[in-house]
Amino acid sequence: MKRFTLSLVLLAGLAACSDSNFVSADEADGAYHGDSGYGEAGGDDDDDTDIGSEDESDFFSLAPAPTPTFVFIANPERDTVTRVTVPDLEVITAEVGNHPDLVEVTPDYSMGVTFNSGSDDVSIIESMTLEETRVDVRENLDAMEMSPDGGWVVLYNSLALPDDNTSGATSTKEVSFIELTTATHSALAMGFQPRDVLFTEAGDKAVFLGDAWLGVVELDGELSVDLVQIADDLLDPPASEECILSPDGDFALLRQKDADQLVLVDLITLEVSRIEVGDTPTDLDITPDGSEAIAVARGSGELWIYDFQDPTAEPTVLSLPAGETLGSVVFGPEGAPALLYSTASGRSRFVSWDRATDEFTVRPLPKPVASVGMDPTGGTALFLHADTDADDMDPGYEGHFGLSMVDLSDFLSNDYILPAPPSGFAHSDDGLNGFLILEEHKALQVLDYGRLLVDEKELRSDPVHVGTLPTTTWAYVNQEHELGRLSFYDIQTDTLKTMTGFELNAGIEIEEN
Amino acid sequence: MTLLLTLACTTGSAWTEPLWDPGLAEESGVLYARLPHAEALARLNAGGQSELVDLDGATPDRLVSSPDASSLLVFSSWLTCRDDDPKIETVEDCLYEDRETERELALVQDGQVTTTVDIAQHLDTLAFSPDGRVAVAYLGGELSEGSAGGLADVDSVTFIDLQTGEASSTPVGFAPGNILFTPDGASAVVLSRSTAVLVDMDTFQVKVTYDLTLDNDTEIDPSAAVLTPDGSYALVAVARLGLLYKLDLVDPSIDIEELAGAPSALVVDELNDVTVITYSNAAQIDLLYHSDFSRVELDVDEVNTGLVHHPDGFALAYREGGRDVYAVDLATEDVTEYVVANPVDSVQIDEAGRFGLAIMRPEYGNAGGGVDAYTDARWGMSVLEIGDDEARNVVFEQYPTGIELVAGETTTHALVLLEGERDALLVDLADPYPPVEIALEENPLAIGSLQSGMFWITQNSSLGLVTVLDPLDPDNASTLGGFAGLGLITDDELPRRGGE
Repeated sequence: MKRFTLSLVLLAGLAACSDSNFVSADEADGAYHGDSGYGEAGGDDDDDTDIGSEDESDFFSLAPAPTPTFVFIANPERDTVTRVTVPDLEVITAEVGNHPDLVEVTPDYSMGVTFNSGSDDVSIIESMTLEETRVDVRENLDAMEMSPDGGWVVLYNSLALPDDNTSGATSTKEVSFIELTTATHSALAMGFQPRDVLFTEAGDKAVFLGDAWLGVVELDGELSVDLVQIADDLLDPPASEECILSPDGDFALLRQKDADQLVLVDLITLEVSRIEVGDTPTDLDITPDGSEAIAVARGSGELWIYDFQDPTAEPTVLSLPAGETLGSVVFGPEGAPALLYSTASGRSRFVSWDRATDEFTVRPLPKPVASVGMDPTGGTALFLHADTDADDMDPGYEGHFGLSMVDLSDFLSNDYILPAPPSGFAHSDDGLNGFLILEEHKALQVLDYGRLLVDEKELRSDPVHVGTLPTTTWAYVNQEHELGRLSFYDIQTDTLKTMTGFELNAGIEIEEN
Repeated sequence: MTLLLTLACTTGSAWTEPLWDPGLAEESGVLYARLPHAEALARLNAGGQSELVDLDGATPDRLVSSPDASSLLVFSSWLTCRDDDPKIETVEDCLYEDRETERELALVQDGQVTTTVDIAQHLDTLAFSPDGRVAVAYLGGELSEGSAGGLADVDSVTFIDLQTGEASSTPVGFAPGNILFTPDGASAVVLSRSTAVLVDMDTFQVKVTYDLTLDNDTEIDPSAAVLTPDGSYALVAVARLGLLYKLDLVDPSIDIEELAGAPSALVVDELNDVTVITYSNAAQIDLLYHSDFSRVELDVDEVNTGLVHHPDGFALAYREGGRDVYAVDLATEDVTEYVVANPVDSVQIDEAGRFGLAIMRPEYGNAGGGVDAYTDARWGMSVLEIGDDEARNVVFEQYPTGIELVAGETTTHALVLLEGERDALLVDLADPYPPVEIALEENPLAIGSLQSGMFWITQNSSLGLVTVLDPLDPDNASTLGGFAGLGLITDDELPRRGGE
């Protein structure tokens, strides 16, 4: 599963998911890219060979759910983290390490964690007091993930080292583990450079995904890694594109590039087996209740449905509508229709899947799909369209990004041409509204899911991150300003309140007299 | 006490220093005058003999009355000689290179020095706490060569307890230039270059420091500041930037409001809990409501550089050199525009809030004759009736050396001194013509007011002359003269020789 380097990057497709509420305020670069691989215009939908991989964007993923009483925003350029208190909107800034790029918050909201790439350390911040504990980690790491129970964060190197790396002896195969309650650090040589890390729901295991190997680490006691070979060819293994874990943590299911089988790893015995899948699987997902794993076989136009309790059991195979190129699936909450689409086909359409009847319906869009999401209630689907043109697109969309809102109860839709590339999105908790920001466009787009309308609220400077404050009717927008600028928008009263200069608060000295 | 203008009094005197300074100061209803030649301070006892105040040999350099005139603070100095040879008794005995100047601040009450305070030589300005208990000395003017006595601490101010005389120097940031006191007197906000501090008025220690910039290379120069009526926020305007810093003094934090331009003036109206903001580069007047810091923009025709406020809830905005004066009703947000005959020099409002008075200056370069040319070439005043939009213009035949407003029970008068005119003119602003002439003994030099509501007018007399009067009852004026003769014969003895 590829990941957009967005300012709010998290889980895909799961409603009411609150994984992290720390976000990088200045991570606007690469927020949304139009090169979603549409491939050749007018290509035959039955010919899957030339259109490239599906781009499973999590643009519409739920924003890192902020704490019930706080929102935390990291400011990499100023080496600070800002805490906004809900509902009185008190803003306090605290200094952390150098260039805090990544942020996470524990599920109980008691701690926030920033990865400070400039100083190769992690700041563990007590939510109420903003007291910071700093822990050194291994050098040249660039990715951080938190276990579901908030007990651990793991950091690893997911990218290639720069050509001008002068850090001395450097490895891309090291992983740092920090146990948060004790702020202790452990380092392991993984044996390969991880593409991703997943955690079992219980939080007792971390599974590192590589191309030839899987690394399993029990998060308990003295850490060690169990390596599992998942490719026959160790010299030129197929790229591991996606991995999912069964809810009970017993199985890992992997999708490899260009493979015609899925790799099943028993996380208890560490045995590897392979299971059949259709031609060119391009997406692998879990149903909302966790009982089934779904693979989209774009090449054969099929959905392969596995019982996640027993993945080796005979799967159910559904044939997708003939002539349609579909490579990805997104689920809403139980009861909501699932949506199938392709970001690579270059066709302006999607398919709704009634899970009760397994009925598929092909539906039009104004432009091809670049990204899909649903509001937390599953009532409205949101489609983003890139600026790449297609033969079957609606007039007026030439060279423009677009947004479509679809009511999933009756599939009534409304479509918008956007003046700039989208750079951030957040849903309100109640599923009634969405909030969208665009690159270098000084406005907040307020989406009304009920009426399928978008209104624009003017901002004072370019937005870099948008989020919502839970248990309130507020959305917040972090904007470019050398001293920090935050706007809070109240949906109920249609008022916009802006605070500027909160970065100065970190420098306020209060004497203890 | 206000002083619009003073003239030096050196009428054919052979001495290098004038005998007396026409700019008087009040303490508890009594006037004081500096006698520069005698290097002394005279207490002008109405109805009795004037007398010198014993400053223990110090020369009074400057007089400052406390806001309620209950105390008089005297910046004073005296010469000392580094050479402690007992044969050196006079200034002349001491070699020039051995002479030094010592300075102090003396507190005078009832004609007596009750306490003296050592303060840094370069501190030349005082701010007073609302209860008059504390004075804060800081550098308000320019620092010239030698004025600091060798070392100038430009990062500190000095807090002076006027009751005990205790002084405490507190570092507050570079070049402190504005001091505000919370209404309860518990704290003071001191604004310096790129810094603001909150000072505890009991301990004179800094409680909170607010840095106004993250980058030391970026200079934030506070140009104006006010406190909200409840004392919970300081609103700080910045020179050359369209920013208003809002400093939360209760839960320390900073928020910045972006404005239409760099503010030219700020005033606070307690009645409507609002701050009025004018701009020199934007034709608007803003009202910033303290309840939620929402801002209302009132469009006007001209930019404004000055703002005068009245506690009844209105303000007058004007531009120096402009012709428009805007009255803003802070309750209704209504704006009334007055157009005056000549360019505005300054504006004031009478205590009763009945009239605004725009002092106008000559306007040159206009061709033509008649009334226009006559008016253009002269100073004058424009009477602005509050609640109406008419401006009634009055032309002065000579330059006005002093103007004071006198608010009576039913009307307001202006007491006007004109250059070269011996009589003072009492002008009923509701009906300016004809003015009442108040006869003085000599040509007036300066004018000021007393806490009692009376006025004093110094006049051109070599040995000193002052008349104290109620303009509305000029027949009961009292005149005091000759006080400059006190200490006329001086010796050159070094004061405080052989110890303090």
